[in-house]
Amino acid sequence: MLKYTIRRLILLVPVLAGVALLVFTLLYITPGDPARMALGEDAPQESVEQFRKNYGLDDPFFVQFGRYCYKALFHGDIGNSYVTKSSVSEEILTRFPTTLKLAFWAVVLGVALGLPFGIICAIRQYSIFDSVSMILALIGVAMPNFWLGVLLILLFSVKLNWLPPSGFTTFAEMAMPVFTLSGGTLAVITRMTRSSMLEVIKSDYVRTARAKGQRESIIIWRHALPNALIPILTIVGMQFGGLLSGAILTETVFSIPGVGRLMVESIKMRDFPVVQGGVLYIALVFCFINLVVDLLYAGVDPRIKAKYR
Amino acid sequence: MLLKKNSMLRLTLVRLRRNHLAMIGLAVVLTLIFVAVFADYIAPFKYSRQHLRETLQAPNAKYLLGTDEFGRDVLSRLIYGARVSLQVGLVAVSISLFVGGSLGAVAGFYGGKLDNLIMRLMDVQLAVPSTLLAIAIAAALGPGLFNLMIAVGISSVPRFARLLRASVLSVKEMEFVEAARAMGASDFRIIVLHILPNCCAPLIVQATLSVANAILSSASLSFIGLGIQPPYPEWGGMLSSARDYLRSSPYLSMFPGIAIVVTIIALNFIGDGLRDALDPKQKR
Repeated sequence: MLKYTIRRLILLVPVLAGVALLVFTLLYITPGDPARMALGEDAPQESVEQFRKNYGLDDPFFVQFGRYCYKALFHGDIGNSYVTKSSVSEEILTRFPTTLKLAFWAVVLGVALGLPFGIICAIRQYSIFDSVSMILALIGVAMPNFWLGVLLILLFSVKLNWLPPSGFTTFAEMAMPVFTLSGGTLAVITRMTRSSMLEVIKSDYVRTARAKGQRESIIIWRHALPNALIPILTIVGMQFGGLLSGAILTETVFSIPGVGRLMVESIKMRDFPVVQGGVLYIALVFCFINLVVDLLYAGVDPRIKAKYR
Repeated sequence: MLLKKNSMLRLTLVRLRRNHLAMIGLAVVLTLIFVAVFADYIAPFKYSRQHLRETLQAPNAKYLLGTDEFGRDVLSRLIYGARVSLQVGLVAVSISLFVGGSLGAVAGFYGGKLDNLIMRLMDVQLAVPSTLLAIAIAAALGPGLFNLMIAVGISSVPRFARLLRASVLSVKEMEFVEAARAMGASDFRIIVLHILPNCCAPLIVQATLSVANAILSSASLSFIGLGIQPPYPEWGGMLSSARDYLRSSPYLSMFPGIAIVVTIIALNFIGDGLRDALDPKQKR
């Protein structure tokens, strides 16, 4: 297990380097002179040239990329905002906990509701509960989360006046954003759990368990669910990436001061270092979450664990 | 007779026609295409026509779905918006199909170092969630229809590359490929004429579902101001500007959303139907 973990950590290095290259390239091809953007439109030509020299903006692409990586790795420095002039890392890190909190609760809600819903749907296939859940899941998958957010605000803030339409500190404020963000995930997890459980329930060993007179609850929880969990785990891991980018939209709808809203505001002000910095940080987190999910597999599935002994 | 009696295509079509949901989806999408193509004749007004004395009107006889803050007819803007969404969906998926498909086919066919290089690059791209990547690319390229298509298209390249690589790997060992090679066919000819037609089924399914995804992504991008520039209408963009009038004119926030959801559900129906119809394991 330790060997497997170390191997996966080492494999992460080229991927992260690739992501850094991708983000840097996107910054590089962005139209507009970074020196002009940083100093403002009416800065004198000499100071622009001086700035270019100081920051090495005239160096070849790969020299600049090398410097970018060096600074990012050893100083955590990925440039300064054009607008506020402060460090991009700082701007993002102060807001990251909010975004993570949002995404985390959205995953928790998605799993806490999606798993039991999916299991009940599978046990009572073709029942009314099953049909209604599947129709809702169908809509949930097709629903852009920003629209779900707008509809919730319309219902609970404008019409009923129950919940505040913005903010993210109290429970009442968190309810709508978390549900908005988790809507699609909830739908996907429900569908996945249902189909995965249905497949397992039809397998031979479950029939054997039934044949020997095992109690139905033990069949579902002890025999079927652990095997059905593996594909569900994959989906949850993959959903997290979608959730982190979905958070950008959810934060915009509910005016939550997270990384997403920072990125959207920076897009509007053409503050590209902040935008690409946000992409870099979110991708980093996504990579580590994928790693954790892969390690969890080994925990859930003894077959995988055996391979890396 | 165009179709052979028991050709794969015929069988697929027969099975697809029995799938009611897929047929409903197809009807919706064909209607949308019709509306998008003939928008100039169907829409009651031009999308940019402002009726400044009649701003923020609730749905009524003259404006079936009401008017927005500039007095523009919402129904007309939805109709023109269908044009944008379908265009973005189709072009973006064509881009990812072409780029991802070529990369995947080359990787799968030649294997070795080239395969390794291409697939590691795809891994890097997969490390960035696709909507986020689309946002990053669109931010770098700047707003606009064409840039939106490129951003959304590139963001789902790895999905197609992986899919095609896997299919090519399983097909390339077959005997008819060997036969073609024995007859002296070039690599290009073998890939395009002999291998690709045998990888079609999963590609078609993935492409259909990807159109839905692309429409969703483009709506998201427009919602945060990275899509098409006003006055041209885009469903996501319409929802974005409607947020300022949530209290006074909630209907503005309803119709574009409904349009998006209906389109996505229809495309998903078709995709799922095709998957079932193309699956040889399914009963006939």
